[in-house]
Amino acid sequence: MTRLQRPALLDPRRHDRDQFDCGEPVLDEWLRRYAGQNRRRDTAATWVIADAQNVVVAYASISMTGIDRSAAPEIVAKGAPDPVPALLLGRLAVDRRYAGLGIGTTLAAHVLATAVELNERAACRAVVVTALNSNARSWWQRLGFHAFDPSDSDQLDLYLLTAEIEATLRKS
Amino acid sequence: MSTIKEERLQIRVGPADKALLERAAAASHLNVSAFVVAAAASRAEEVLAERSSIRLSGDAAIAFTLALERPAQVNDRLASALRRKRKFSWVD
Repeated sequence: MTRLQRPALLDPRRHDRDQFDCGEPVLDEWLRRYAGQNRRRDTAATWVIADAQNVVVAYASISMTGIDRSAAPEIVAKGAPDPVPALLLGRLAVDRRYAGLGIGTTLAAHVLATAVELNERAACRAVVVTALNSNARSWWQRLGFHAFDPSDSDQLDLYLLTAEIEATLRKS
Repeated sequence: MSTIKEERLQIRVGPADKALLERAAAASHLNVSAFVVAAAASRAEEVLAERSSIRLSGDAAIAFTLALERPAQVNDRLASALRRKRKFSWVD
């Protein structure tokens, strides 16, 4: 059976990401070239799952964001709505050679648990993902994510509430 | 990203930018069209993946606000995804 290390923050000196191939060149390129630098600029944190030799087989990048509801006059009328603090799971990719093992789900679950922890210490009301295409959207929906705008079938922005993540984790 | 190329995107470009794009495309062994699409897709992905603000449409903002106000519920899809057996093991 494939043996992997538990999720850890990307360490550019330790983790080997040169051979990473998830089938989406944009995501491969980002991990190889930008992930380490990005951390130094503090815009996104990159979590990885690596094999026993420190070769990265999956990664997720997360950053803090705010959900802006000011486009709804009904909400603005009740008082200026503050942006809702949330975690943006901007990227999630699994190397094709490791597809179908449940690694993507495991890494996503790790990020969801992180959102619950953040919400206890500060405030993090939701986890948001942007699906790059309709296949990715279906994948997130199987994980329970909801479309922000159910009437828009092309909607690629999806969310889970931290409260429902917490309720679900507590039960399981 | 997409392999079926049936959509057109027309862009006006100044001579200096065009020359720059042609040189960079040649250096990357791509035609100008493929180079521009790849570079723009990469930037688009980056912009979306690291947004500091997510602006909802009016309808979406109302739906999301109602969801926030409802009591927390167990998400069945998430619960069953988390129960699925992993086909790998941890090193430790």
